[in-house]
Amino acid sequence: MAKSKTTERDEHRELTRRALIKWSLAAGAALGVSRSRVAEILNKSAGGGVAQAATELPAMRSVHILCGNGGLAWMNLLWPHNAVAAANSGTFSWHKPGQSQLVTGTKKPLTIGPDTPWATLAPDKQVTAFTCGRNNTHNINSNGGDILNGSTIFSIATALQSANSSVIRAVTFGGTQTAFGTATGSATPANVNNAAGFVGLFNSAASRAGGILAQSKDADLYKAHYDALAGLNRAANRSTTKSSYTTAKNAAQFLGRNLSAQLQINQADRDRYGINGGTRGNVAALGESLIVAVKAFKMGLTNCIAIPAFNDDPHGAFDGGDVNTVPAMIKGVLDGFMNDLKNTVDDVTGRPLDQDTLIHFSGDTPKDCFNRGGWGDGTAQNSNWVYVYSAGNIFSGWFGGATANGRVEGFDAQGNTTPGAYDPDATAKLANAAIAYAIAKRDERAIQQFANGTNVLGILAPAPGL
Amino acid sequence: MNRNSKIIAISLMLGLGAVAGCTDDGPDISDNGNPGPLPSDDTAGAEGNTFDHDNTGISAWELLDRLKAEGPSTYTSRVHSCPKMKYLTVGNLLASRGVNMGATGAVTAGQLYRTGNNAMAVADFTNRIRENLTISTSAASRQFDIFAAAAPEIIAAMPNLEACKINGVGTPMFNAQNQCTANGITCLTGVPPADDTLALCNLTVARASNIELGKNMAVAVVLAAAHTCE
Repeated sequence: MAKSKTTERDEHRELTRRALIKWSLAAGAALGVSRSRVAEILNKSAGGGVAQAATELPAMRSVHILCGNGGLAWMNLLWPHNAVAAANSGTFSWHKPGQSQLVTGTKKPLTIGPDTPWATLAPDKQVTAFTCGRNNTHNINSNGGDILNGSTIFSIATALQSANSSVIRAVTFGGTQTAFGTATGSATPANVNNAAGFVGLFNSAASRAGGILAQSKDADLYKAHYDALAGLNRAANRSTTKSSYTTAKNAAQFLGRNLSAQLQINQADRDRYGINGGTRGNVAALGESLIVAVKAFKMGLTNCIAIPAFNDDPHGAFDGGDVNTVPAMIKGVLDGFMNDLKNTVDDVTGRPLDQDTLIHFSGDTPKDCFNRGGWGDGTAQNSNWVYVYSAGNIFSGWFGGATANGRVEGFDAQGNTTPGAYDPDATAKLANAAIAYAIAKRDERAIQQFANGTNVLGILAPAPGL
Repeated sequence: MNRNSKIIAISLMLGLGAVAGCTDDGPDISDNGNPGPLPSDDTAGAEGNTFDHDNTGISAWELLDRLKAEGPSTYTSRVHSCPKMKYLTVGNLLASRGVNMGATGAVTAGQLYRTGNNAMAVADFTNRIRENLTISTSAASRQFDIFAAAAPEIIAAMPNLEACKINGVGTPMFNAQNQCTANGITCLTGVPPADDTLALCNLTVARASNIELGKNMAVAVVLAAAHTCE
């Protein structure tokens, strides 16, 4: 089959910084040279920046799934509270009574069921569930459990990720930028409407068919002549302007490179995520966003993605029977996402993406976990909770949680359950400090400007190197 | 031998003695008594007896040359910065050069501009975030994309632009031989072009896949280079 113009163009440009690293790592692997030695060679030949990029990301990338307008309730069905599942109740809000099992080896107890995704992960890689924050019913974005000392965990994530190179630091889908917030050093996210909009970010008009840079020859000419014209500015090589011009020269090259083909969602992608004609629209939309996220992470295009999910206020899920179909769809999408992360290697670091990606679920209300009839919005003690996949950087299992007597309990600064008591603010602070710690790859010093003395090391999360 | 000569001679003898002491009498801590050659560019010593300093960093002479050319950093940091061109400024510039900023076609400059506010990091008043001042890849690439889309409109509009008329006579961007005109480039950049700029503009037209595409690319690239910084 003849190669498309786009393919030819992209192949023509393979000698980029990323390609240099990619092929250096491949050559190193073929020759039996260790990664550290490859980095050492790159350090001497291509500079410290390239060598650093070839070794490891300084911070985890993150995917924040904001299950607004009651959407977080679906997550209850995937990872139920231990006591709710153990009750085997026909009235509690879990749809598979009698089919639960405790995961062996997690730091804290964790119950899974037939619709739990990622069930085969190692115990230390299983999700962490923090009972934290306040119920904030019927709010698309906001969750009282996302705040750490006045800043949202989303903005803190981008600040911590600033050492990771990327084209766009953060991308929000469908208006989630309004929940993004600001923290010192955080990014202003680029907002897109959906997965197609995300692809559009990397689909310059000039590089499309009919555009002036559609052909690789013209794109190269544009880049070369931009460099030459910019070089005529006598101030362009000044130390105070060099950085800006370097960025602009990269942009001139980026303009001629259309990544839409690499980011485009195809049927094979949908098949891996179990998305078909019968998949509920909001589940399919989440799946397509996650498909694009993996592709973008692979190419190092961004570090942080915030996606709205469900927004469907499922009061009638038990009464109408949706619990028999929708959780399995969500499981299919999330299993597809995890498998993609595991099977996709970062072009630069050479590591599977699942080792460097944090996944965070939050929402306005997880709904009443003790009464499935009408699945009310209210929660015991006005509580809330979040789920996190941290690749083992936070202890797995439930911190705090529901009790069989219809109440919830929080946890304290030692990570212990607080019997009969729930403090929404203190638990949110601890939970988000732990998430920040995980994103910072267990660098406690990096998170202190946000955590402000909140200690999680050894309590909520393992120490570095463990 | 006068007094000064004696002092110099004594100093040399003492110095040589000290060197000899260092090389002959000091403890030999290298492997098998063989110190081996010293690494190039490194401070005297080897990994076995001292910290292996890396002396390949900034060159004092290069720094001196830079200071001579640019002036001290306290001065250059004020006069030679390169901030991002503001979103509104980009819009004003294009509108003043004949671009229809209200166009709705998918790949028109007006549409790309209006939908490019996020990529160009405009102010987010809701979250109290000011417009980004530094150039980012996404902002610059979107700006360049807009310039590329605007090129045909600018070329068509230029002869009738009041701002670019000389003595009431309009300025075409290209002459009958498909070469860039100096006045046309002045209209794009605001300053008369250097000979090299004019030559590069002509080369762009000549080297592109075809002449028409080359004209558009020439306008796009001249605009991009001239308006990279505010």
